[in-house]
Amino acid sequence: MWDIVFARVDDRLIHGQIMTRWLKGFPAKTVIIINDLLAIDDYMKSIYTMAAPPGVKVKVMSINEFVEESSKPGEEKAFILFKDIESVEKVIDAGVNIKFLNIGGVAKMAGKKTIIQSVSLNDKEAEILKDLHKDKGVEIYFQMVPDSERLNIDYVIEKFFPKLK
Amino acid sequence: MKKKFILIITHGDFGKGLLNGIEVIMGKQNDVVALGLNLGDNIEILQMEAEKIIKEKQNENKDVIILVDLFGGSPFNIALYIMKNYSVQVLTGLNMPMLIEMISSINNISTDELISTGFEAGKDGIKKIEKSSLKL
Repeated sequence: MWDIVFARVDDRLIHGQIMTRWLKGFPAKTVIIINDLLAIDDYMKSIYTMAAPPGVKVKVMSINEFVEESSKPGEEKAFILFKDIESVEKVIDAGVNIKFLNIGGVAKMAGKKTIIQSVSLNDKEAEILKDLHKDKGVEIYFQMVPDSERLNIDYVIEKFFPKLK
Repeated sequence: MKKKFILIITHGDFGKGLLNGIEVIMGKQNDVVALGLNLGDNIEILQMEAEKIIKEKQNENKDVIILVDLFGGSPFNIALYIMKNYSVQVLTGLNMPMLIEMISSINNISTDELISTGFEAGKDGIKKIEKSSLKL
């Protein structure tokens, strides 16, 4: 079982100093990218492993691989990273325990509402997050980097998606 | 000598600003374009924009060199996604000395030599100035 020190959604995955800054507050030697498409693409995997922050090992796993590994014994600290919100839901539905979830990067698109500068959500994504919070007790917050503005899920639903309440 | 084209991809307006600064020194540049990635931008859209430019330039029989600001950053990731399907070369750590040297020699040397020139100029352009080395 992984000891998940930090879970984040960022569609840019590992980029620049962003990971390094979060890793300072949530130290882990392993960063796991959980994404079905990347897990079968050795070329893409090599990009993220090449640019890993110093002293950190980057693994890329499919949802199933991650869920399977999570059921094994052990307490290795891991920092986990998702490209999309749907994958988080699948992992939690499969029984993996994620207590805190940081939403740090979801690109703007037509029909989405901008929550913080780096995160925009559509109704479906907001509903998934609301359900993960209400039904599974996941603490969800929106924050780009450790010292930027932080909004919690209750506030975001209330302000941007009042119909979902 | 094969013609070259330089595609700059950076965080925010860094690349555009750098190019603007260089044009102050060297005049208008036709073989260089700068794209920027801002917070909330979709990286797939920027990647498509970059690929469109690359296709166009390769159709004009030019070699394309991509310069990015930061190893491991999102513009770097985009450049490497592009590298999977396109024949391009990538340099990281874009700075003014690198770009000035590359523009100065762009169509005078081979593409590989141009890459080496940019690589060396980028590193050599960084100097630490000690006050003690100056006569006061």
